[in-house]
Amino acid sequence: MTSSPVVTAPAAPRRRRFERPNFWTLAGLPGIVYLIAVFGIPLVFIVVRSLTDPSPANYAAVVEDPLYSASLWRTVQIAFLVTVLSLAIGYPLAYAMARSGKRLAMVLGAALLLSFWTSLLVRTFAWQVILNNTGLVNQFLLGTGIIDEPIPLIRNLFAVLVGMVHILIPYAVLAIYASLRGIKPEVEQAAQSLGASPWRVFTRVTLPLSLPGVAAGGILVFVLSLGFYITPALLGGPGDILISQSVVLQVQQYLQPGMGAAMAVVLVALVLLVFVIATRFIGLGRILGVTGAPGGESR
Amino acid sequence: MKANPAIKIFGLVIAFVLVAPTIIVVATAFTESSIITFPPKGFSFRWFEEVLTSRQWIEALQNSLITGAIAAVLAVVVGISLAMAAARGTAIPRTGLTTFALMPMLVPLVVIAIGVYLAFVQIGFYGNVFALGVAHSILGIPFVFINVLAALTNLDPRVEEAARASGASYPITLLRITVPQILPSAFVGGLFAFIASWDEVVVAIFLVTPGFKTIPVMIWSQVREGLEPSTSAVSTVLTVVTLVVFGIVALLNARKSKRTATS
Amino acid sequence: MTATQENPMRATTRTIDMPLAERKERGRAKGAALRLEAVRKVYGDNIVANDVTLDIEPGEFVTLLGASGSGKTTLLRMIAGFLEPTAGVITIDGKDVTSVPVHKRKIGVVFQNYALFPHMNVLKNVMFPLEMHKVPKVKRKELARDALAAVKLENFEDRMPSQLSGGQQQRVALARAIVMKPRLLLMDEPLGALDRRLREAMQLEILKLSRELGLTVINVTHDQEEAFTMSDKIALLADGTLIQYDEPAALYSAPVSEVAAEFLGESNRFEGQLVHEQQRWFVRADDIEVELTASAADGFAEGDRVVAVIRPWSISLSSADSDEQGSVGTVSALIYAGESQKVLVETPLGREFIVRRSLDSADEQLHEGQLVQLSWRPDHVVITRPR
Repeated sequence: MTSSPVVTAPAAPRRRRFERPNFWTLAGLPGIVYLIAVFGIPLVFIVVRSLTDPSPANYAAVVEDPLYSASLWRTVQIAFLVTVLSLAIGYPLAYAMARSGKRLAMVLGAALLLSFWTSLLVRTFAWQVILNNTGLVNQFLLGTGIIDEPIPLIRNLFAVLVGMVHILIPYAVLAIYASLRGIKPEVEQAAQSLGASPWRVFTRVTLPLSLPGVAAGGILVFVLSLGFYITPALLGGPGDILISQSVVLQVQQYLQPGMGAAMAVVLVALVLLVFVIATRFIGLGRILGVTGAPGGESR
Repeated sequence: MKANPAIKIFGLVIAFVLVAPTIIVVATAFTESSIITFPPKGFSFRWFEEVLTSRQWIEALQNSLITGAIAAVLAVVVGISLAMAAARGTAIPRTGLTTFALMPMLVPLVVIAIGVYLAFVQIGFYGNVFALGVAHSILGIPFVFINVLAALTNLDPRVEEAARASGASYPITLLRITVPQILPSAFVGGLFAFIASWDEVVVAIFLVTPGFKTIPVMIWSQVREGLEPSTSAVSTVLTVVTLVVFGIVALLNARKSKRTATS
Repeated sequence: MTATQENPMRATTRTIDMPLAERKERGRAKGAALRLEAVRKVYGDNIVANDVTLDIEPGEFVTLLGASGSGKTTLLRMIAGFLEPTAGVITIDGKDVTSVPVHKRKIGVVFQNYALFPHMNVLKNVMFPLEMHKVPKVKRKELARDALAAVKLENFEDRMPSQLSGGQQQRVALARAIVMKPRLLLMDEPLGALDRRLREAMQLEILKLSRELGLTVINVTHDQEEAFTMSDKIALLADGTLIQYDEPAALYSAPVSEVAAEFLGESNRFEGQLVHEQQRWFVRADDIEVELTASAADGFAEGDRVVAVIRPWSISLSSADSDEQGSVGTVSALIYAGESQKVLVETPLGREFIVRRSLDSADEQLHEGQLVQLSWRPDHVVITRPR
């Protein structure tokens, strides 16, 4: 027998929005129209061009011509390698950032962001300076007498790999860091208090809990790698071009926009396929990470 | 659980490798010699002087700044508009609209560049700041969208209702109450959009003409021909502007979090 | 009401103690009459307002009281115009406003979390409604200052909302709501976010201000104490249905149903049969018999199933060593709550009574396990229909 009201109605949906929310849809129309006009229509142009210039046979050429299918396959391989390396190198850095004192975390974070924010073009240029025949590495090796003449470190897939991993590590780190920070310290402490060694705490608790971040970072790095153009164009050799280089070559050099468009469609289809599969497991927002900054070729 | 010393040292090494290229480029810009060497020989501003007195570079600088500004303004307006529909619109499903607004992030840059090239050249819209600004705005829209969407979701809808009860119609409420509240977030998004345009090459390559170039395009063509200290100098300028803009972003964020902490 | 009229906010008359009838006379010129006619709001299968009909006279202070989910806020939002009813009509001064948009209703609204415009200073916040209603620029400042003076915030014009305390923010919100001199003021749990002491002070101030201005006020709350302190009338809502609409005293003394009785504070309730013997009326249950007055039994017939309600304050306790009439029980718990003491008494048959006593009363000290006698006056017993 108390005063508490027994009347417990089902919670009414509290409408906090305006009565006519259509107004907000209306406010969104200019944006939608604009994005369709300057982004959607150009994409449609590509599809149309790929089918009509001269004919849908463009796609057959993309698939059948060993040159193009090789560049497509090479792109996927490089993207995979870049992803694995970025995660392998990025994970310890993310771990050090998330599990260190304030000062070290700040130093590491500042370095990461400085790198992240430096233009991709500038960073690629930097690798040219470093890997050149007269560059830092060769000078050092020549100076110490290990080699007699410069070894070719540039204009090959090795340089492309170095450049891309360097540029994409921050994306992997930020995603992993976010998930490591999301692990409550009590969880690790609990495992420790139950007698787990630091290594076992890491392999049985921390690593599994941070896997979503690893996956998100990995997908982002993989997808970004698929579309990389500047880095392979400046650091790669003429013999082993990637798919986006093929696209540009077709349009600019060979003046076959229809072929280039078909390759572009294949590239987009590949990227979207990865995203569609990935978003079944991880949210799109998590993959793109709201903390992300542009940093040039961030797509 | 603290990281063990080995991991910390590894982290420091990686962090060093991450920043080293930037430092090397900046350092080589101050060389006295006319070829790029590291460590640089002597110390001089001669390459900066050469760049900043060259009419070509100054024009490119102007083009880049104006293009970036146009792209940022367009991205802010469009990003706000899209975010409003995504946050509160009814007719269009929210996830669909969000995916659409984030699409420019998913589609490879090369593809956007080709598409814009095919479409814009068709109507003769290229070779000026407006064409490139419009093309670059595509890349900036997701940044504004993400920021504004977050701000809108955190807004108290009752503040807008209070305006309505005060006699303000929907459009007036939008302009006088909603927009001012999300403007700081939109501004940060706009700065990101500016940078997205400021250091963008791929789309730019397709829309420039011999008479109209931007800084990254100039760097791009120089780098393909050979390595010159002037490229380092321009890269340094490019990087400094970028860091200043991100510095402003960091400052704004710090102020915002301080304000929310005190209130 | 135009801005050129003499500013009623400067009125110094103490109207707070004026009887309702007199206030109504004054109010008729200022406050609006509000009528809800079978107002209904449905979300899917969920009826959040179930044909509510309510007549509010000019100058009345009416509280919509109910638990969360009772539909009181939905009702207020329909009156304000933020929501459109699924069915029914809302009229203000006889004019149908059911589908008039909010910004054309000329009402004042105060929200629980103040909802000040965070990017405007205090003065601009208060001037906003004036600007929206196209009051000439020269007048705006003066009128806004008058409104701020009415809520005693003269020296805060340049502050930003984030620099104000909760109480101050609420005053600004109030000033903003009354600056246009609306005839109808709506308040959605305006004091919910304030601490108890500030809340009580603000209750009095709001009441005073609204009466000085002669406003019709609709206040939404789940706090029955607040409802009783402030209201001329209370509309008690549960599950979207209007349970009872009456003056506070009537609500307390004659709840129309057990639901109403239950909501209005702690009570001891016994369900039983109404019996009439030797000119006296009783409610008879298995283990207890409660006498009541003939007037309390008015409207009921002998043999009806009824619920007798006795408020905890109406019961007095005395030590029971004698075998007197009435109920005897054991003190099972003594709880000190501020200035009062709550005593739980268990009867031998397992029924528990809640009794409240003033702490400074000269009543004897009680201790747990003590045998006590419970007694109350028949005229403190009210009856109502079982749920």
